[in-house]
Amino acid sequence: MEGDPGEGIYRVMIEDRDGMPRLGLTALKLGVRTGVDIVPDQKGMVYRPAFRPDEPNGLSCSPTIQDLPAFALPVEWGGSNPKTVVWRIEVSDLGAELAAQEDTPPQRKGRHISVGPSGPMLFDDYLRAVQATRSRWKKVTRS
Amino acid sequence: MTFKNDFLTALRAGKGYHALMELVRHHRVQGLSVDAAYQALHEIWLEHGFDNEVAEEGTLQDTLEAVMEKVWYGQPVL
Repeated sequence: MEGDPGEGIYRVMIEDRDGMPRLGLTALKLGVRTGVDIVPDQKGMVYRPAFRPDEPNGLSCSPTIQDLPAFALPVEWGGSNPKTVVWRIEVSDLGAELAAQEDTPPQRKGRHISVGPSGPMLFDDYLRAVQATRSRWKKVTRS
Repeated sequence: MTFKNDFLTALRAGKGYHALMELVRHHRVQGLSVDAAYQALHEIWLEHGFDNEVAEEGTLQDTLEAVMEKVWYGQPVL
């Protein structure tokens, strides 16, 4: 597709007024939800995931734009959402506290990459590390 | 009941993410494909006009979109 930069780490999110992804704990904002995206232990700790396809390993992303969920994908990229933007981040911009790996299940509509913690840390620190990447996500537009 | 009706009833009853994912798993075990499951959820999403709304945390839209995201990516794994 025209303007498609190829494989990388992509996520669809709402753009905030300052031109960066909006922070929050929903599917279309920058954040991770306990019990949905990752499961802390009783002490509130999270750990580097094994990236098994059947486990919540962290922030959901895709390796290509075409793999992003249809409900989230902007209209300009062939999806059905008029409010969202496709964002891309480089692995080198994730920072030392985060690790990314593909963990696509065998039956799925889109390939999946999780951005999880790179080692043991409090969930709050993991969330902070994810949201600290906010300025490093670059908008991907077709024009 | 069809998956779509079943899911809609549960969603409107205020069921949370885990209960709804369990409902998806139940229908998937009965033979529902990932494509059919996602399509039904997408229809519900459009019928509620959520393509013109930004979900706030804890709302019905937020819960639905959390399930849609995971189903798109192949969850729950059978």
